[in-house]
Amino acid sequence: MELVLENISKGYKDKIAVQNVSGTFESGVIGLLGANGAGKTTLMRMICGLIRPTEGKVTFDGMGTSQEMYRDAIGYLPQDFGYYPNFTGRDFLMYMAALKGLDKRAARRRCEELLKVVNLEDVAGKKIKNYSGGMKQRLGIAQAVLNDPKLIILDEPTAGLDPKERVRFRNLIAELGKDAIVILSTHIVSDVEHIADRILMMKEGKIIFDGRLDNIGMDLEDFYLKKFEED
Amino acid sequence: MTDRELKKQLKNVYSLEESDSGKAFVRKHEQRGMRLGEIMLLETKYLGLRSAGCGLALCLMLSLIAKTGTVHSMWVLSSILPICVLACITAIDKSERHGMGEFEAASRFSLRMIIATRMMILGIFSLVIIVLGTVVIKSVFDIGLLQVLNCICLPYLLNIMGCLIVIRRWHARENIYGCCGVTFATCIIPYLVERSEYISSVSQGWIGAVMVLVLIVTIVECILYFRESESLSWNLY
Repeated sequence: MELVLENISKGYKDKIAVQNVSGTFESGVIGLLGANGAGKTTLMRMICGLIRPTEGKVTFDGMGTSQEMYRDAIGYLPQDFGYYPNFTGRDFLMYMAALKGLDKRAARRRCEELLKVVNLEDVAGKKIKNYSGGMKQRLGIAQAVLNDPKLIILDEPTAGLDPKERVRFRNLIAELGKDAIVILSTHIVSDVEHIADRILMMKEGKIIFDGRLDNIGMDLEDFYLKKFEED
Repeated sequence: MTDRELKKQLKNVYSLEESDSGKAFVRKHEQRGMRLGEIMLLETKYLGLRSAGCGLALCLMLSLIAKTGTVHSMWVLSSILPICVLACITAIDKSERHGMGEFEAASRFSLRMIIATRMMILGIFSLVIIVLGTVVIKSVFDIGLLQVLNCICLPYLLNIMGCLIVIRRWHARENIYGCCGVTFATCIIPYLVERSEYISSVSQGWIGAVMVLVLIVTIVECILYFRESESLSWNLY
């Protein structure tokens, strides 16, 4: 299981959002830290195959982003998203399961499992428009892992979660990281400092740090601030 | 090789731990890919309520016309038909409007595929409406087929074309307001046609030619929307 980013860049009309990002990633949790506008979301979207890079390529176990097998292997939680208002939580998960190609029976079983994991079991039959922000976020997390993905991309997943849910969510991510590549983008250091095996730091579209958490040798928050002041 | 040795070897083979490729096969089998037909059924389920509501309303109107049988009621039907378009066509853009676009784009069935299935469903629904309307009106009134087609199809197609132009250009909630405006405009066309002596004197052939032109523009708009949904999924926002 290997995700390879080969010198990828993305430019818009008047701005370069991501510049020459390369790396090889194996199973584990990868924390992607960066301030707002650093290019994290663009990088995530390129890995998901939603945006075509201006240069370079992304492969997962040798498969390109446009291949069906690649899409089958990913689970994605976008930063900004919404739901069809007439869906209940369970309807939404079943709809996503169908789009991800899950068999109906397997989908139903998996949906119930995940509703329990994200603590939405009791409200699964209620319309999503009545959910709180945190509940919607948890439902988004559930859909990301619905197809048992090998590459999980989570863009600011803890936004809107209360402290208790945050801890619960971190444990879930750590668990998923044992058997998959989890890329977690955030600007909150505490979200990744206890669970990430590897840290990437982005600034103005470039990777300014790529290394293992054990090698940092100081508090991650201090290191993060130091690194941003240096560059 | 003796039987005993063969049995021993077979036993070893079957007691082996399942290989990675075997696990992958089982997983793939469990996650059997959905076919286009299944996706269409799924989308129909979610578009179904709107379509069913419109279909029911249309059937009631047609049966009313068949009973009363005045030419005036034919024009009333002609004015009401575009509302069926309004009720369904905005569903094409609902992924974008409700913020589900990224979820759908990252799934096995791309956003482009989902939009294509929605268009196909609504296309089939439109065809049923047009054929049903034409058959009922032709059987009730003693008028030419071309005139019936002009009366039923023209406002309907004009509304589809107008709404598609609006939807392709505006991707947020504004497109609903735009479509309402287009629908209002197309609803009053039959009324104007019935009242205007000049338009009534235009030959049916010319109106037929306009209808063909509108149909071509509608198809072009559909193709462009479909293509742009691909570029949208490649270059979001």
